[in-house]
Amino acid sequence: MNHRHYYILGFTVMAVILVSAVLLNPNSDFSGTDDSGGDIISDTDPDYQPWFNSLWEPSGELATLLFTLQAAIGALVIGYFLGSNKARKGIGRSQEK
Amino acid sequence: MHIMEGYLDPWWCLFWTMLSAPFLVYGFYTIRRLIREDPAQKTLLALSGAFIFVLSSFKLPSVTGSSSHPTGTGFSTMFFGVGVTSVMSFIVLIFQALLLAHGGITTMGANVFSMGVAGPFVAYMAFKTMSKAGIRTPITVFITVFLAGIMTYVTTAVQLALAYGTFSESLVSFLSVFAVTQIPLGIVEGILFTIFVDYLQRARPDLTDRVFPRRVTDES
Repeated sequence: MNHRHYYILGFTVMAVILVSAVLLNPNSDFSGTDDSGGDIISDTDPDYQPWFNSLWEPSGELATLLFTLQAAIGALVIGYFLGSNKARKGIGRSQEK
Repeated sequence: MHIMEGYLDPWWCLFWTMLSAPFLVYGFYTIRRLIREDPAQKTLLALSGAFIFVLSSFKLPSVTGSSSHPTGTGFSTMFFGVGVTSVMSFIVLIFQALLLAHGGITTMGANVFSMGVAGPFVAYMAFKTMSKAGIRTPITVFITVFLAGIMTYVTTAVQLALAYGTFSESLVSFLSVFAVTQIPLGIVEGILFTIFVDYLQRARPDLTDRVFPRRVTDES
């Protein structure tokens, strides 16, 4: 096995872990642990009132947009790096000839 | 790792902010020095930040039936240590607190401490130990990244347990939510960075030399 096979194996295991999470919980809505943290707090201390509220809260659609924006910014940087490596390798090859 | 806005009493907010602040200041100066002394480091700094941006925006499903964010801090921890990672985490947490109502301004200190200081600190110690012991790179990377993620959530559980109810009882219930959900996600994140670091070592050994021993080159 060369390294590419290990990469494929790695990505397969990642996919299996994530997909099995969904398959094992067919009826779950996969609510975030952030929210369940809040639930535990209201269980242990029912009278607790948050003493400060978010300055601004985006609506559902807007939140999705902003999360996507966050991922896109990061993905752009990583993609740029991978692409420039590829190009660098190509230039190296053509100079050897 | 996000403690929600308003969910920690002011004293705890102050306490965690005081603990995080020195790391942020140190990290800020480290970044400035790195950029000035060795511009090649900019590439790795950008990648470190980018991975934290991408991964912490994901909400991944876990076998427990809930979902959680990976932290993405392992990469930055291996290359730059705790200070720089705390600054990167701070930037992402500001973005999420102001634009997404995720985490919060009052809980910023606590969240920076768990994601940017405590998780990376444990991971960095493990990384240094494993590197010295000559453990193979893929195993070292996997364990470091896994620890950075999981210890972040363990820290969050401790922070909430300190603030609510009897410490030991609360700790168990918070750990069962945060840490257990995070285990499969930590494994996924660990595999991702193991592959990426291996790729980096092959494609750009000039960047990884400083931290990882140069591997025997095979052009296969």
